[in-house]
Amino acid sequence: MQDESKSLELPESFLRHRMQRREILRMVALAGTGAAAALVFDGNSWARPLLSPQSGQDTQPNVDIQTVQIPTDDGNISGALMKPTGAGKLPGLLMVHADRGLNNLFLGFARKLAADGFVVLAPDLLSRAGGSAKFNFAQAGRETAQLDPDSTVADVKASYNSLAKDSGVDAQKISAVGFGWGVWRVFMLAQEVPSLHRAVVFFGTTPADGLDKIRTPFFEHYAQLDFRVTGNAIWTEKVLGKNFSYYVYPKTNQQFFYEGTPGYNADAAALAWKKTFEFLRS
Amino acid sequence: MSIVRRNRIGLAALGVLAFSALAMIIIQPSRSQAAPNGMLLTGLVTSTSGEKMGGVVVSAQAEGKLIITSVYTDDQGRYYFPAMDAGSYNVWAQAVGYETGRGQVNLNGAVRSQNFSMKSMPDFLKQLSQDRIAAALPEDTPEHRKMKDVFENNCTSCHPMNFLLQNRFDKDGWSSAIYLMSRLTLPDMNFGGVDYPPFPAFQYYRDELAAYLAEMRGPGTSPMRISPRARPSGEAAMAVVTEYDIPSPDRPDLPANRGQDWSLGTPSSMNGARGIHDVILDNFGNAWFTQSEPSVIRSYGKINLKTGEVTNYTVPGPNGLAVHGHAMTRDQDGILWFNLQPAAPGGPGRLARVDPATAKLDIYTPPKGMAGVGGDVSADGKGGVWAATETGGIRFDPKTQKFQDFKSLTLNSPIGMQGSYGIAGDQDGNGWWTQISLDIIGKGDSYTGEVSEVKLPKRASRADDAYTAEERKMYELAGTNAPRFTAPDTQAPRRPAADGDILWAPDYFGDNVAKIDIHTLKYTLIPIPVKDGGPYKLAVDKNHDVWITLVDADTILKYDPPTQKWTAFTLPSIGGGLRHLSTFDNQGTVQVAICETRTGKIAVLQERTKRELQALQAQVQQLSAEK
Repeated sequence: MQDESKSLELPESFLRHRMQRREILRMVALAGTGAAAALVFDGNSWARPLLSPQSGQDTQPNVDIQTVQIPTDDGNISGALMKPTGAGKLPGLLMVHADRGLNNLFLGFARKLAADGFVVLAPDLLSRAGGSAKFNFAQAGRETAQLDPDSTVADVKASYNSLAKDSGVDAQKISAVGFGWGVWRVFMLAQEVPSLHRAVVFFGTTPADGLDKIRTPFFEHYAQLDFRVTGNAIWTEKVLGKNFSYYVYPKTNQQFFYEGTPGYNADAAALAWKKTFEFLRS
Repeated sequence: MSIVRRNRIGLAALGVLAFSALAMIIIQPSRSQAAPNGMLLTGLVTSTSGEKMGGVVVSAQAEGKLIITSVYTDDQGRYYFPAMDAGSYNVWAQAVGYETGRGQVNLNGAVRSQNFSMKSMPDFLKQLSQDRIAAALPEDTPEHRKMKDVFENNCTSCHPMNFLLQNRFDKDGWSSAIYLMSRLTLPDMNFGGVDYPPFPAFQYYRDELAAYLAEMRGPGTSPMRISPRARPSGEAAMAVVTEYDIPSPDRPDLPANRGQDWSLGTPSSMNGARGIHDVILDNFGNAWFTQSEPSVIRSYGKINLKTGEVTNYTVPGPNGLAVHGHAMTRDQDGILWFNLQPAAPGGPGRLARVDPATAKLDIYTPPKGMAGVGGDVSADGKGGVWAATETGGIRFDPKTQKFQDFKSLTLNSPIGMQGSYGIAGDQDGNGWWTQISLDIIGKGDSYTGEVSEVKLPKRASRADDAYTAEERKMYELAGTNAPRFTAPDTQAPRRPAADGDILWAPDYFGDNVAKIDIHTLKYTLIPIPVKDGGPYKLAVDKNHDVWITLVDADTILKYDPPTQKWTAFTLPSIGGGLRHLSTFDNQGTVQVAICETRTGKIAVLQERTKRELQALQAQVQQLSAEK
């Protein structure tokens, strides 16, 4: 992994919370344009809505956030590396975003995971299209749909390998978390990397084939009203056996996990986080 | 009032053929003793062994015309067409299990005869409709019964069994097809790729279903026991069916297979073949129909039943397309009502009114805050027009031009399609709407504004004892994505009709008709005599006979409530994908108009009495003797 980070001073407009979140993300410079940046957030309340979507987490430790370049077979992709401040080897966590790219929502999730004691690497799988920061919400959805699925799996695997080489990571305990579009890619990673420690996935598609290769324990979160996704829990469980467990959040759709959406359900989201941490620590 | 463009296509495309036919008519001498209103065509149909064959469908199509007339042989193997125009006709005879008999007749005399000798064929699976395929699939073991159920539950919402099983594949081949189907997007039906979640039941049963289908229609010997249904007899063999081709407005060459040649198998509805959906006859000799698929040209249309001339009406919509609709009804004054898409994306569905005397169109949009007009409409006995909505039903009063909104009592179920599917207005001004996946029929009282509901019982699956707890859990989690739009044990009431004190609702998967007292809400379920055909739309004629389309059985049923007698009329085309039907009182005679969505046709069925047939037979004998 190439660490090209440096500290970045926050502008006045950011501190006064006048900037659009997308502009902030552009400043974070995950597009990999060379001006890689690292931000150190100290837990001030103004920053929490951006990078800590789940409220009530006032005691999170500081997290170092770096933009990194992840080597792949044919070049680099960008990613966000988040480490709890402090020393020592920590379990690693690969976080694969959903179809709208590595936006502020998922950066916030990554920080939350890092705050719990994981070294989190969140690759920007839209790097090959110019980077997530380049696109708005709708554009990002269209761009991810254009990506070659196999290429994205290769990029996820390259990210895993980078994380495994990080001196601060316990290579025996690297897990993965995936959301929506990223879930299929986490399953595919587990097919190729049997040593993947744990995987937690949120409402995503299970590959139709190859699950017999998986040795990694999986936990999947489902929203009851997302019938087409959730109905696949039983087949996945049938194929993966004891390596698969899941939980269905009653009377919810996927929005229950995403603060700011009409379907957000704070209690269900908190439960999902709790289950996530418990499984990753198990 | 929207701008409406009218397009005539008529028979211009067939001008050359028409000219040839015309020339033939001119040069042929006509007979002065022709039957009243035209020429008579008759004949005898036997097997090659000489057996007289009853219930054989015999069809005639004048060269260059888009109209096909069909009759059925009586128990003596004889058929009698009604009087037809002079001209050159292609005539063919078809019966399941036999090769098509073909002939050509010049109707240039008072009466002409065309006999057929029918040759049997060993493999006639392609000639079967879904109900016979279903009957052929074995139920000898719990596994066979379960997989038959799985096959029906998961595949037949979009394809009839006869289309699905017309070809053989090995297990890998079937598995590939299931994989493709499992990843289709809704509602666009495109391949969603690896990131699109599969229909859960397809994924769950993929291996098992592929093995089952390979056993039924694979390289080896199939345990299917195929048998044709009994050929029509009695009343069912006395009807005359006239079918009118309604060419696709944007692709007139489609559908290539229009179902009239059974040797081609059942048609596909892909590539724009499907379009027409509901049909209503007017007092001026026209059939009006809705267009339910996107078109640049057609929002709705009409066909002149005498000439076959089609008129398309275009209500401009977004993106250069015409807006389209789905349902159509006729009120007591003969005015036509139908639904149209929103004027702009995200807007409410609209209610359209056409006076068939003038073709004048008026469009009414529900006010903000009310539900939009959905996919079924029906006039009540008090002058109101009801429409199904996403949340129940809505009633329009043409006098006040006001809408009245009714909300279903049970709406936000965690499983099932929430919106209403079909709707019917009754004599008292009430509206009845079906919640297809919840087995609920809602009632809206237009006077009090009150809503009540009837909950139908679950149906028993043929494989109730074969499903495991795990499978039931899968269906529970899959909800509406079975993908039959309902759970496997639902009745699925679709498009009802009211008559007097009775509300009749056809239960699509239950294979029965719900008969509901509109005052007490008490109901009975009356089984229908054809299983696995898909009862879809119900209409009641002036004699209080109940008519029902069976979507995939190429059959319409008539039920006489006092005698509880059923009559099954088999239509001449296979794979028609029958949807809407309506009845019409044509000067005392009941005509039943049926929309064949898959073959792009409108069929008009008219019964003949024994006396009428005897008179025709006598006339044939008399004219033949005079020759």
